[in-house]
Amino acid sequence: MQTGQQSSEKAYITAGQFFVLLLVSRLSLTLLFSSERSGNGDLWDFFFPILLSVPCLILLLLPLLWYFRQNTGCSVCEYAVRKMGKVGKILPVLYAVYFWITAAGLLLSLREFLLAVLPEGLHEGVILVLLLGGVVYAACKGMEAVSRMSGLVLVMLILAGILLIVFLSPNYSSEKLPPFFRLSYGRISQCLIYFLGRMNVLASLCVLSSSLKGRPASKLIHWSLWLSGILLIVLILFKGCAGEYLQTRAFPVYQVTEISGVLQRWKPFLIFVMVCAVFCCLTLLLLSLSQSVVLSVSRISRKKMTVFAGIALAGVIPLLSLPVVRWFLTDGIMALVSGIIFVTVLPLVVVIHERVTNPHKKRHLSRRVIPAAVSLLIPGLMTLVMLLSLTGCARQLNQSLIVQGMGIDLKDGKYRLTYIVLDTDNLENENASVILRSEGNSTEEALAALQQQRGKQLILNQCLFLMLNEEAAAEVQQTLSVFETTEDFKKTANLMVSSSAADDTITTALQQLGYHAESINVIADSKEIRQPEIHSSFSELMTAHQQQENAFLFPYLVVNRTENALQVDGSFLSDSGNIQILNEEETLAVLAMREQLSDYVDTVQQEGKNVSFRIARVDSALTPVLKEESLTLHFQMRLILPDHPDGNPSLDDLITDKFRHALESCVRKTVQTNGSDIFGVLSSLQGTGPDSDLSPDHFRHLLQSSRIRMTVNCESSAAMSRTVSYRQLSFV
Amino acid sequence: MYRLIHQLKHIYTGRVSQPYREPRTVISPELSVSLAYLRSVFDNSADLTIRELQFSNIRGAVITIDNMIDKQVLAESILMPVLSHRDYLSPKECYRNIRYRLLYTAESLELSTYEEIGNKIMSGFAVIAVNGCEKMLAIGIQGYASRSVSEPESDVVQRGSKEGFVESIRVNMTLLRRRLKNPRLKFETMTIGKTGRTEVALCYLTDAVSSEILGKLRQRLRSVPLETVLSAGYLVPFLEDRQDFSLFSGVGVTERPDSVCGKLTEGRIAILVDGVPSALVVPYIFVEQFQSLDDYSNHAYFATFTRILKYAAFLISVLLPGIFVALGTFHPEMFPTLMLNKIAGSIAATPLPLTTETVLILFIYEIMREAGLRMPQPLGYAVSIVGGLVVGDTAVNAGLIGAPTLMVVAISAISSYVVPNLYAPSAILRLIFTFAGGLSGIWGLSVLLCVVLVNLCGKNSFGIPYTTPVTPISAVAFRDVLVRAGWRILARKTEKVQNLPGASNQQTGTEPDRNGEASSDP
Repeated sequence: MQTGQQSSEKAYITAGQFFVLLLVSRLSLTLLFSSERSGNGDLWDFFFPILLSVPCLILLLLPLLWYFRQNTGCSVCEYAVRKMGKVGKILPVLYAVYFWITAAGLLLSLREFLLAVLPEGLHEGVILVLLLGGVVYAACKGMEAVSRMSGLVLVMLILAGILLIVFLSPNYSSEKLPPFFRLSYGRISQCLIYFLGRMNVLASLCVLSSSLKGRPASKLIHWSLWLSGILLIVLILFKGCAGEYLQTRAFPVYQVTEISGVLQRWKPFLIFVMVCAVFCCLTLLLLSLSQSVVLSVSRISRKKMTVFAGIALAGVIPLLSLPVVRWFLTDGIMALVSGIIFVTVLPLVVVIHERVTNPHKKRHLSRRVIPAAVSLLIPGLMTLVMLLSLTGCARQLNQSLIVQGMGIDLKDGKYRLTYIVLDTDNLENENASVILRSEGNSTEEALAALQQQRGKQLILNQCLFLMLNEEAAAEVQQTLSVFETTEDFKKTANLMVSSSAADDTITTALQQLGYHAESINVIADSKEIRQPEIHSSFSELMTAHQQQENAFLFPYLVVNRTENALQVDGSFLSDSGNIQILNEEETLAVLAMREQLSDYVDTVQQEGKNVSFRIARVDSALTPVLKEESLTLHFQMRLILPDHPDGNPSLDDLITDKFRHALESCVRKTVQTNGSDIFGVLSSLQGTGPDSDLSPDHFRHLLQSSRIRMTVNCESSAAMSRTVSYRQLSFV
Repeated sequence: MYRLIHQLKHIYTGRVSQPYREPRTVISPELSVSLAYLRSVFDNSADLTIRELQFSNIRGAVITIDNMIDKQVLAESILMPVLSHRDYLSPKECYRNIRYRLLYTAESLELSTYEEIGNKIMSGFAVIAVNGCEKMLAIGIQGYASRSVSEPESDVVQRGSKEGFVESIRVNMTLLRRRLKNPRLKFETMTIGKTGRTEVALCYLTDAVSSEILGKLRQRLRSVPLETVLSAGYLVPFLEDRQDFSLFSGVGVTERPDSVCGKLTEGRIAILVDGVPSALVVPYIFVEQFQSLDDYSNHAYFATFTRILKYAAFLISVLLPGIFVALGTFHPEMFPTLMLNKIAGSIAATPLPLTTETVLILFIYEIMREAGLRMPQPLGYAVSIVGGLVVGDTAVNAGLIGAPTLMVVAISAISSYVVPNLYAPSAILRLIFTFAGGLSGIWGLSVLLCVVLVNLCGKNSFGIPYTTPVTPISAVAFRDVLVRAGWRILARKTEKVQNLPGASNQQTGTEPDRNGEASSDP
């Protein structure tokens, strides 16, 4: 008998290899995690369920652990078939149905995922069919091939994890982690049920454990520990890096890559790792399914059964869009109950039966090997037909408009969009961009109008910036809502505001800067203020709106008509429809109060000369006091000047005066005139007393009638180091 | 139609013809009968030379094939001493004298069947027949024209030996014996092929080889149903596992005796084929494709660098065109902006879709490569100019093909030569991945890659998992996979192939008998 003929050889893999396969399969479910299917919750809601998962899993697996201690070389189903008579023969059938439903559920999750992430021109049905074809092939290859492959997939998952850690960790901040005890018991239970309901891959142990060499019992415990550890690390990393951004994402584990431009370039690798993990999971389920059926109907060969099972699963794909099927396959209490039955209850029954009867006999399975050509021909033909008929004509790049920057003007209720589009016909020329325009009653309408005009589709994922005129910026949420829902829009695009029409600014800028969209981006980046914290991206704006912050800073572009040049002049503030233009000094004051000013160099006029000074950092505090409908705001600002020589009080006074005037001007313009909460007064007041729950209008009125106190002083860092208590200010 | 299907089915699923079993016709003591039989078997072929002799009053003959022997040695070492002696009393005594006393040659074999005579004279032996004896004597005096030992053309190394295998199996055996001066090095010969009757030698170290693997190998070689074996590649499919359909080969081929010696010490078995200047090595695992002798001659850090380079080159050669086409067609957002500008410009300027263009360039490249292999050398320069200028420059300038696509295909093609053993699978996989990427993007590419991985992981070579020691992992063997550990570490232990994880053959050092069953004790 030659090696490789599986007709009379049983596949033997080590328990370690099998549990690597189980680990990869379970992690694939995490990669497909959907906020909607988990009850519209946040990823962070699963923190406690993951912590509790180890004891819960061990509890669920106790019958299996007990069984493995007494039996090796014979799975639960095999024992039932041999020893439990006619009743025992039903067990594999039940398991087969369970695995079929589980695999269909995984296909449903995958389908929803693909619907969200696939680009134009790719049909999710084709991808599912291709995947299923590969899975059938892998299942026909046997447990050995899949378990070896899972080792490679685990290595790739680790590499992907390292990649994520390396490129996400600069964004990590423990402040983005929500408090641990904010969840209700109901929500924790709900998440725990959802989490444990996804343990259905463990049921494969009841069917495939006869192929294992080694000690499955100890490996099971290791598996639960490893799984919980990995999931906790993923959770803390993702939440700490992406913060609230993940809360609104449909598939947060996949879409976390959007917060890093570098990770977006590595997407092909991440997609490949994800597909491999799902592939392993589906193959495991299919192997379990076919083995269950073979155990109950021993006349059919395993390979033939695998092909039939694959065809049966493929038949589910067109039905996945039906609501009744989706309801039936959704995770939830049913998944947990069925998981408990097949992972815990049925093995417990078998263990009890074995304790009572104490059997020893083994059963040899006979298999036939069908010719390879016949087993491959039908699926191969089906795949070919589907490929030819279902794959649409993918768009070619030259049939698309690659948008590199966009300007949005709102005037008299109508939107006018200006696009900087790559001129693919003229790349050799310096003028490599063209300007296109379209109009509509909404941004969405204007975008559609351009596509209709040109007969080409827009590619928005290369868009570097969005420039709004003041009127559009006043309605920023309405203006930009379409981009929030457009999946292929680059979420890290910069936002800026133009003093005149965005169309004019863009046209002038391109004439001045040589028809490259990057140059506008660079100008806005450079900013006269030279402070990084007013850099604003689309994703930051969306996050701020989620957190109901109503004050935001943008770079503000002005076209200097005399010089026909573009410059950044101060900044812009948007506050629930009120637009304020802050000059450079007022912006500095805002940044200083937010303690976002660092290494700032400027000059003051002293005795007719320009004297430069450097501010290392600012320590600030804002203390609001609300008493009987009267709000008092005490602003405190301490400017730390490291190079400041002791004994130059006049310079201190000049610097202090400069910032005090700026702060006064800013407070008057924003807080007192418009009731704008640019300094975060409301968040400071919330939770401080019975009067602290204020409606927005009421709070605005309070701000407008507030009394202001200011304390601004300068100190050198040498003087600071002599102070015993470093922070004397009370911070909100 | 039905008949056609039936015939096809019979071809692909019918019973394989039985391996040839040579008949054994015993030699007649009558010289005239033997000579007449040989003349009829050879059908009076012009190169069959029969020199009849007289040893005193006993008739004899020397049978040779013209130009297969060294005539000077025949005259001086055989004919002269034999004919000079006058004292022959009886045929048996004559035979004994010739065999033990008179000949000035080193090698002589006793033959008892006509088939053996035929094999020997066609192998360059001279056969002496004596009237009245049912045995004949074969004397090894080969003198046929053969190529001298030279540097192998495909397995080129910078620092190693410049000797490679030649067509003569005996010379090849000598090349191995010189390097492994170990009495445990054993050569076991057998004949394969009904028509060609090619001599094949199994080479192994008796204290390192696995008896189970050796038994399987013998069995498979004996069941080869071929008529002739004119190249090492003829035997490869018969040495692979029967149910194993894979693009990758579980049988290694090398032209270097030093490589073979290294593999023999790891428990592998080499197969030398007469007339073929290369050796087959089994079992063969995937990571061996990336190991070369230069790795062990250079410093460990540089060897590690080149090893990683090889892995990267293989991945690039297989995946780059597919990824390029997938990203360009379905996922342009993954390109950096400047690169996307260039690619979009080139696509706009060319008439074909990206997938078609890439496949076309791949085909053109393969045509040029094949032409370069087959054409006479003087024409090589012309083809280089045509290929380089016409395809590379003119076609791009004319806007028929895009420069980025050409660059991608060129990089992929050059990368495939870094690991020449894997050129065939990488060429096919490259095409398949290009189609997959063009039809279904990165997602379809990933699914196909999973299928290839499963195929790789499910393959065995004589019971050894093809992907070992990567998966199943072996920490000891891993020191020579992605990195090449220093010699002080490598020298601590030589991991035998049958001891790699996942292997179903776990025996070492057992002396096997010729029937493939291990004896109880060496």
